[in-house]
Amino acid sequence: MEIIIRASEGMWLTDGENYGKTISLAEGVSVEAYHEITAEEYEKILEEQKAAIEPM
Amino acid sequence: MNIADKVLRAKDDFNAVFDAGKQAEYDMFWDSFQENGNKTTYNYAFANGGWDATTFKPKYDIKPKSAQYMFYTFSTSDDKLYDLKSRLDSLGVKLDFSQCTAFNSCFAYSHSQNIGVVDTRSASSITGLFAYWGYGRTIEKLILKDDGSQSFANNFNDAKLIKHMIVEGVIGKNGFNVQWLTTLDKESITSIVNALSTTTSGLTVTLSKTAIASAFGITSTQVETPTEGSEWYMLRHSKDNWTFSYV
Repeated sequence: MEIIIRASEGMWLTDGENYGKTISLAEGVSVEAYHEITAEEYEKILEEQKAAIEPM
Repeated sequence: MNIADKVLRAKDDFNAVFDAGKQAEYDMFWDSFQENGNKTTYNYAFANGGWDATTFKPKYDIKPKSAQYMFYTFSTSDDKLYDLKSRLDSLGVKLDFSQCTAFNSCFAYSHSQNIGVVDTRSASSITGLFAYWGYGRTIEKLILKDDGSQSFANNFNDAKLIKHMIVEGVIGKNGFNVQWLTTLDKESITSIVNALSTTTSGLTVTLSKTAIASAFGITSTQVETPTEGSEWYMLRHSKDNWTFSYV
C-alpha cells in the first residue's frame, strides 16, 4: 500500500538528505525516516547549496 | 585601366588585405586559445560577459576533459548566442562532453537558453551543472552513466525555465532534484522516471508537482495519489523502489 506523508503548513519534510512537501514513500521505507523542518531552515540549506557551487 | 577601374581595383585589394588580416587575427586567437584543437581544460573558458556573435566563434571542436565553470555567467545581449546549440552548429563546431570528468557549475548562471547533448558518462559526480541557469530552456539530452554510480548535488537549483531535458542512462543515487523545473514536459519527466534504477532501494527523486500535473493533465491531488491505471500511476509505480518527493 502506498504511503503518502505531507508537510504541515509552512514546513518541509526531510530525511536529512532529500526535501519535499509531499513524500510518496518507496516500498519498505518507514514514515519515521522523515521529519519536519521550517521553511526558514530549508531556505538556509538552499543558501548553503548556492554557496557551494560558487567559485572558490 | 582608367581611374575608376583603378579605384575599384584598389578597393578590392584593400578589402582582400583587410579580410586576410581579420582571418589571420581570428586564426591567431583561436589557434592559441584552443591550442590548435588540442585544448581539453576548458575551466572558465567562456565564463562571464562580453560575448557576442563576432567574438564567440570557436574554430575547433570543443572536447573538454574538464569543464568546471566553463559557461559560468556566460552573458550576452546578442540573441544569436541564446541558442548555444544552434550557434555551435552554424559554426560547424561540436561541443563534445563525452571525455569530461569535471562538470562543476558548468552552465551555472549562464545566459544561453538551449544546449545540445551533455554526455556525463566520464564523470563520477556532477555538481551544480545547471544550477541557477535561470535562462535555460532546453537540454537536448543529459546522458548519465549506465551503472547508476554517479552522485548528484545541486544540479538544477533555481533553473526554473528548463522545460525540456531528456535523460538517458541510470539514476542510481540520491540528489536528482528537479523541483524547480515547473514547466518540464511529459517526455522529459517520463525519461527521468524511466532512468531511475530498478536495482536500488531507499533512494529519493524530487520532482515538481506542478510540472507533473500539467504534463499529464491531472490534478495536484492525482499527482500525489494517482488514479489506478492512469498514465502517471503506471509511471510512478514502475519505480516503487523509489521514494518520490514532490514540491
